[in-house]
Amino acid sequence: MGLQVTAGSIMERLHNIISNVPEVNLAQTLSNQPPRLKLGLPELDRILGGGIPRGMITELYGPAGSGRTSIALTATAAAQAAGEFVAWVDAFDAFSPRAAQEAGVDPKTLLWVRHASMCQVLRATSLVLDTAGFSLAILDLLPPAHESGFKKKAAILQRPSTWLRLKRAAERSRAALLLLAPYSLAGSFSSLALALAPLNTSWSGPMKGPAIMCRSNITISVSRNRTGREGGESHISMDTAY
Amino acid sequence: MRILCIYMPALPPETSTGATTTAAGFELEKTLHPAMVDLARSFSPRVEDAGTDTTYLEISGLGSLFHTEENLAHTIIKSANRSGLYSLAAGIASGKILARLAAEYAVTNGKRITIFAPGKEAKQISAIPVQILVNASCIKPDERRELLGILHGLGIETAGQLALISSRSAGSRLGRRGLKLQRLAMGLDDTPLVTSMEDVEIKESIEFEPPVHTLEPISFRLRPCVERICKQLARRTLAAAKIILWIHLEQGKIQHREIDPGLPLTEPNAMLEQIRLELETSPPQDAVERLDVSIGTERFRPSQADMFKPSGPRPSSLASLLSRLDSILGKGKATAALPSNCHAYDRFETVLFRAQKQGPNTKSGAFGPMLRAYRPPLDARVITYLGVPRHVTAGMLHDPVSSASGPFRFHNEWWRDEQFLMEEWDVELKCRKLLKLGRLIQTGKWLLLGEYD
Repeated sequence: MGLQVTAGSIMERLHNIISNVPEVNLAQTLSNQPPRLKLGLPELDRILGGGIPRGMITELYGPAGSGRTSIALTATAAAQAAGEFVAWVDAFDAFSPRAAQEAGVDPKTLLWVRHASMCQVLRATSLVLDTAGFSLAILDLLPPAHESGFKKKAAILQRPSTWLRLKRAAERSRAALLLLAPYSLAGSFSSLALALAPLNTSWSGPMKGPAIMCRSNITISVSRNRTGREGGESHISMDTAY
Repeated sequence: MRILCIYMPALPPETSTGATTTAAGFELEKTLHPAMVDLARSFSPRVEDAGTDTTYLEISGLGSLFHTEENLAHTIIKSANRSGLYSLAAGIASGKILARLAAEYAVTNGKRITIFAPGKEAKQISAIPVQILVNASCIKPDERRELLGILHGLGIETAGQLALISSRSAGSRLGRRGLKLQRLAMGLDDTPLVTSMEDVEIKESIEFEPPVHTLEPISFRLRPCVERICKQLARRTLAAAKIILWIHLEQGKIQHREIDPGLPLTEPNAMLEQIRLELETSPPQDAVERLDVSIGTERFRPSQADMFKPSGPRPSSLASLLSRLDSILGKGKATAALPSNCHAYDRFETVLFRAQKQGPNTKSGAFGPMLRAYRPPLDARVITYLGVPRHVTAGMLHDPVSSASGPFRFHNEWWRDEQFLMEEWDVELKCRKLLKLGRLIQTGKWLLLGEYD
């Protein structure tokens, strides 16, 4: 009996180990496709052919409320669950550790680089990418909703050399660089660009009583994909975590 | 139990201020004793630090590594020579005091190693003068003189002669110490080995004469110092969890710096880079006379990487990254966060980022609109109807509210007498932006706390 319990626990442990092993797509490997990092959203991962490419820039852009942060947090949680290390470079000091925890992220094991000038942010991102071992670096360039003049502040982001440098750094370290931006910034330097748009937000509750925000629907379309098919589109519902 | 005694005989005055100091340096002379203890610890975990000149270590069980005791003793002496401890002698015996006796006997005979074979101690000791026997035993100096006087009076010159007299007459003429001495002369020693807790303070100093103004000479002198520290850490299977610098400046001021690497360090290059980056970020304000480097140690377990999991950043690379980020962004800007255990929407504490892997994730997170916090919150002008927000103006935002949910009242510390501090609202503007608003209950002031994305 004791032996059976031990064998059972060993099997369970082996199953846990095997379920955490990143999947290797043989067809992808043979077709010279870059390895992928799962975003943690099955439908989106399927459209993207297994996730976002490692060693390349992936852009996630759209207006405020389109779910850029939510997707990045879900990707972070998925990467951490697979035993990968993630860094979040936060240009506007807007990252919320509590929101991250709600999304399944372990904030204690996430390197959070906070609030700096745009030049410092880019330098910090480059340093993170140069440190081999981080599988996902998130460059969060989302300005607060009330701010204007992002284009003026972010003049350095218009320079092709900026993105070329980051692209090379990502290639060297084989880390996926996920860029969160209000509009497409990296242009042709990104291998994958996902355009996000908010559809609607559902509110529940009695007609004249207090309502509760319960769901937000967004559309994600693949506007650039150098490693796969362009033009895929997905509608995703985001349920509020109250 | 076989004991090895490492014994450092007192240097003659001319040598202590001459050759040794010149050859090994002032710092080395100060670290001779710790170096001797380190040497002992690098061979055995059971070590007794018995003062400035003697260290005992238990060598039982080391035979499989060194084959013979003689081989082991030679290896220790060679290691001592490499560490700059040129005058050490080693003695091996079945007891602590006998081992010390063996070491002293070796020094008297101009040798560096003496081994008393187990069971043959009495025979080997018999020819040793009682003076060496008395010196080796733990007897106070004034009592030693008295004891030696009595022994000379009795005509006892060697240990063999002392062993021959009856224990009764030894006890009546020499007292309790005499009995102990006689047992030693018979090759019997049951003094226990008192292993001490490991002293984890590792400190090195560099003197600059004349004081230096630039970082280059400091970096140049730092390397051997850091290498010595790393050797000491390696001997004790420790790593540097904290590097503390005491910078003694020319005007008598002392600057204190603490460097907290992300992971415990054992490599000299990584440690050097940490110190160099710290000094480059905030250079000393005056010429440096002396630099003390102290290490806060941490026990670490070398482990093999998991075959099924991706590898993480190397400790040295991560420590270097954190230092560089600190120097670029300022202290505390590259951290990890720990949300506080309360209902406040944006209360957390920053903690040092450590490359620890997350355990198996059993809890799946929610996928929903996530808050992006504004720090500090922005003043907002809100028009309300029956207490519900209807229009929001903040910065460049100027939009009517299409939906609102709230108020959600939170006060952070329920055990206080204060009223609720703030009520929070989630609102959707006509332009589809989702915002989090807050109203301070006491003042009625509206704040824009963040946005959902």
